[in-house]
Amino acid sequence: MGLKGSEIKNIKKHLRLHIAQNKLLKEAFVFIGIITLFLEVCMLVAPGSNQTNILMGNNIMVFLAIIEVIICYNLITLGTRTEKSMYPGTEKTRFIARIIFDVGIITLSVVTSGIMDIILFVIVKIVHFNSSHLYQTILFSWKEFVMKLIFCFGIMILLYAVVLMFNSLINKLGLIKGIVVYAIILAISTVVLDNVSVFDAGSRIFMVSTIIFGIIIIVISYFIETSVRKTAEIDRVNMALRIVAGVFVGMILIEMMKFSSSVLIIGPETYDANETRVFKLKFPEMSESEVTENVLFKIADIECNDNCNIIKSMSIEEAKTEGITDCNVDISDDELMVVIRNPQVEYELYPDMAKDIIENITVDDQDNNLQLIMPEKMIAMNGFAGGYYNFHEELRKVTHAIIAKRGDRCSVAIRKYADLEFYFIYNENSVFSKELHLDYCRDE
Amino acid sequence: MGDYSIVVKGLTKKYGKKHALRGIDVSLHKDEIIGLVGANGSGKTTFFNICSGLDSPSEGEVSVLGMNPRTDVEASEMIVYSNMRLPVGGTNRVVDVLRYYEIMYDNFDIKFAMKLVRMFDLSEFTKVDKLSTGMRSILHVICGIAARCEITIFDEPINGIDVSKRKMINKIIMGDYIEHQRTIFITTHILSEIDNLVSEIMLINEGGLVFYKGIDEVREMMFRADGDKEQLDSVFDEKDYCFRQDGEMSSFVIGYGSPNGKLANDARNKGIKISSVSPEEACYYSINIGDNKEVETLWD
Repeated sequence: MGLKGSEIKNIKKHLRLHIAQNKLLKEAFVFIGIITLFLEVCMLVAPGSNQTNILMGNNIMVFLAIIEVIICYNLITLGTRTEKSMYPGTEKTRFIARIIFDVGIITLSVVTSGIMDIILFVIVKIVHFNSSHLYQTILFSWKEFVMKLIFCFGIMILLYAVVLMFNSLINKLGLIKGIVVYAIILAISTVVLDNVSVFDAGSRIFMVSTIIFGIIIIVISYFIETSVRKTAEIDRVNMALRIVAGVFVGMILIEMMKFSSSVLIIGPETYDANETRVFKLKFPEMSESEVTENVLFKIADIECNDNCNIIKSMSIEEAKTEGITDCNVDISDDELMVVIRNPQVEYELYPDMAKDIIENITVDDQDNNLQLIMPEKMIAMNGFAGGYYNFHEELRKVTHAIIAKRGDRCSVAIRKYADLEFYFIYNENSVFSKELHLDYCRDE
Repeated sequence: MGDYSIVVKGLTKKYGKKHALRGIDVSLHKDEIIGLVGANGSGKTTFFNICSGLDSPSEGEVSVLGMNPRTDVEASEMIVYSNMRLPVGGTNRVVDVLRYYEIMYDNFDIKFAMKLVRMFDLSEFTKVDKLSTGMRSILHVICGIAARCEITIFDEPINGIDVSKRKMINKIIMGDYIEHQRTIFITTHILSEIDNLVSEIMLINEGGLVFYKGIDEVREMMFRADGDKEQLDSVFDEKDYCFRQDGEMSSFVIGYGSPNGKLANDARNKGIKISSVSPEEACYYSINIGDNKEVETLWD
């Protein structure tokens, strides 16, 4: 970089100016705070909510919110570039100062999100909200927590870099060339992302759509800025960008509402053992018809006895035969099958599974309800956007070891619906194979 | 270079196909108060946007105190650009704006700025977007003066300011210049407001440089000769004047040269009344906008 002393001094001045001047910093915190709070309340009051839902929603929505804040911030500061340029400095020093400042905001936003998580955790622990089935075992793992924050930070930096790069491309190459070059980079990135297993389909779709949306906004803002530059009414740019950012925020709120409403229908409040319940399981890489054809499971006949091994799957035809004509519950993306197991059976099926998991599972089958009580630390935390990558390490390790024998890669997630533990087994390569899992379970 | 604050060579700025500046070559003196004069849209603001590093030239070179204002941070810190159109963030209070200047300019004299704020009855805690146009102009002028930069640029500093305050501002600029000598540029299209303040004038028109002269030189550029048509014809050829108006009762020409020069004296000897032309009028006639025939045809 080769910064001279005077440039470093100037950068420091700009940072001081940003901090003194930029009220958006406070706004960003307020914004994140409100969204997180909104989210937490949604999760808290949602029937059938459980700790997994809360953490999943928390992850996704805070993640979303922060990204939107960053993008809005970026757009708004685009409009105030001139404002900053009225103070002494060169493009280089202003640019560096701005990046440092923005990365600082990202960091602080992530920390704020983390603090909100901790506050929620403490509140729930103290209040024992709806203790009949909700938050009986709120989970908190420092390791997972830190991992989540790091992941949030990484993704935001990535997106920020993308937006910044797009800005720079347009500034340097002009609008048309800038878009062409950016599209090429985006295409390459998408191909790369497709081949990076850490991002599942949901994450990729989300990231790409966010980036594309960012492009649309920036293109609009570019036209606004160019058209008013001639009249030198820079304040109008600022105002227009704020309006655009406002619309953007509005859209995000709608997203949030949609998301929270989808959370509301996850899982029954209490599980009726005699109830026949059909889960329609969505899988992003499958068409609706394929899903209907292949991924229809009936969880039924949960007669709780020692040999309870109650996965029952059926095709759409079988479902029709049994009079099941409708799928009334969407769970979430990427979940391919539901397995409910008796720990004894589990033990037999997974002989290498860490003993402490098994040893700490107890069964309570009173009142015709199967209840598997697991130690808190064994309940896996969820990951991002429909993927499950933050599983309990041992559980995943063991599962992978078993699956590896089959020459395929699968993962297991645990969710707790009401009083039941569900194991979701799915293929990490996103290739649906119902038979694989069923066979696997039976074979083992 | 040592005697010059700003040196530009072949400075051209284009917005699309439109030329805002056309190949300006000029070396502006140091430690002077220089008025940059031109009609609306003549390129005054563009010129200083480039000189202050806010904008880049399409062609040509700009050197400020021997440095490139766009890439040398030292140069940019020696320039304060007071421009009412630059937003300072409407929701900021007056005192906030002063604080920002204090952060950014090492020599910013906050005490002096506060004195001026009180002198002009600007409430320190009023938000900038609640200020009237005139008050906002004053705020920018205060910031520009108190920054005490080696190069201080005021772009249309007296816009929207009433007469009494205009005079105060001129006095303050002059007073502060005497106390802290530096190069001050003032752009305006109303030269009469500042002609007792500036020592040099740079006139630009349609993006090109018309002249850059000392104010006294400008005063000596032209004279007005009033007489009857025959008298004027007997002294002035077409090449001797830039503007002529013939009327029923009397006629006049704006002749080239000093009111005390040979041509003016010849005219005087023939009974023609000679008077001086103000710097503003000199600029006015230099860019040939004295003839408003188009206006006269509006009601035809």
